[in-house]
Amino acid sequence: MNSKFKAVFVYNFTRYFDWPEHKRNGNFIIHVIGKNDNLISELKQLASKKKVGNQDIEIKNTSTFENSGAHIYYVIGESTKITSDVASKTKGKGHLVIGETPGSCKQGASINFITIDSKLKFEYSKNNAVKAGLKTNDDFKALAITLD
Amino acid sequence: MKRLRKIHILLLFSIILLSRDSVLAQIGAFNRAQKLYSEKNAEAAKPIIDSAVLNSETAKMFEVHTLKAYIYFEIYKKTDKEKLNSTTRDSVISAIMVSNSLKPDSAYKTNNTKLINAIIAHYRNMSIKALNESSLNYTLSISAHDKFKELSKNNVPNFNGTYADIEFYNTVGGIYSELSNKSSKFEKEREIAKTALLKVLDLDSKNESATFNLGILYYNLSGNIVKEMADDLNIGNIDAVQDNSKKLAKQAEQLLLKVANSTKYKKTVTEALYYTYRNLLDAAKLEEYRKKCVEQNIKLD
Repeated sequence: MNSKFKAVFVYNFTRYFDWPEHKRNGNFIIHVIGKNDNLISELKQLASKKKVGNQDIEIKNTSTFENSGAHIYYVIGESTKITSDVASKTKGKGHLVIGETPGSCKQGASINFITIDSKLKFEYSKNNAVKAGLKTNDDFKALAITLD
Repeated sequence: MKRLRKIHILLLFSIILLSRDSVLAQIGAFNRAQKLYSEKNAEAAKPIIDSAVLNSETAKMFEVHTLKAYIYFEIYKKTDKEKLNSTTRDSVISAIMVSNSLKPDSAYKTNNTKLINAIIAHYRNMSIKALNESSLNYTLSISAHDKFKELSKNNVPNFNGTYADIEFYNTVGGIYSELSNKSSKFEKEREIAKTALLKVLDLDSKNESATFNLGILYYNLSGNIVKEMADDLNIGNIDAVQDNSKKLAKQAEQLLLKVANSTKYKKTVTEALYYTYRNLLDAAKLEEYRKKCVEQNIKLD
């Protein structure tokens, strides 16, 4: 259930960011780091039906960080250290890093899923997105819990 | 004067003879109808018994009315058994009522009861058959159930209408909730299921089956609206789906907790509560129910 919400959120995020020119060709890659079969399954289902602009969506899944040139790196798990590694290794290259652990944005993620009143919400760090080489608009900020 | 008296006597005698002949004729009609009935020719017996019933001499004989009921019953079985409304069936019932009002002997009374019980059983079968998936018809089912109840109330000693309602609406609720559990789009089915199950809980607030089915209905609906959520739903609208889903999950939780220790439903309820708490993002309860699932060998995804 939660995974479905996360998948729909992630797909929505793709529409709010201005992806760099060099990332507008080929597949739109969402790279999940860590194990969450339900989320992978939801994202794959979504990828089979939807596109980002004209780009097909491709889902990758690895247990550790690999430079796949993904548009989105989604870090699963409790360790914020991985998020920190991913954020530093992908800095400035137009990758969106999403975490789901408290404090992920402090470790460099642009977006972090949190639970408030039994509901899934997301934090957004505009500063981290800018550092990552991404642009978004104020509409997106209005939908998020902004951190800066 | 003497001659006139003679004429009067003769006239009186003739009237008595004619009257006796008329009675004999009607009894003869009754016998003919009975013979035709035993020869399985109910259609031919029908007009004869109809005339016997209308005749003032035989109208007061319970035997005539019982025979009429049996003749009409044969015709009803061939043509009207599957019909909710049947004038033939109504005639059977009213003939038995008249027969019973004429204080029949025990043999006839037993036969009358048998016939009424057969019709009661037909109504009941009709109400259940109308709930089969291939011929699902709630309106027909409920009408047949109401007729079953009405006839039973007047003819079955110690008939418990509340118990019959609980049983019936539980069946309706079970069938329709199973249908509605497949998709959030089956609104009509879900409304029928909810109405039926709430009716059971009105009659018996601790009814385990209704509590379970209603809890599972809310649980499934809570999940289905998320599963069926559009992949490109706007972020602003995702919140509304979450709100709706959580509300339903809470309703499911309250009902399922009431039957959590039921021998019959324990396993399903434990599993449903695990996913309910996962939906509610309640980490502590989720862990508690994960352990319970492990203890009960419930496989989780």
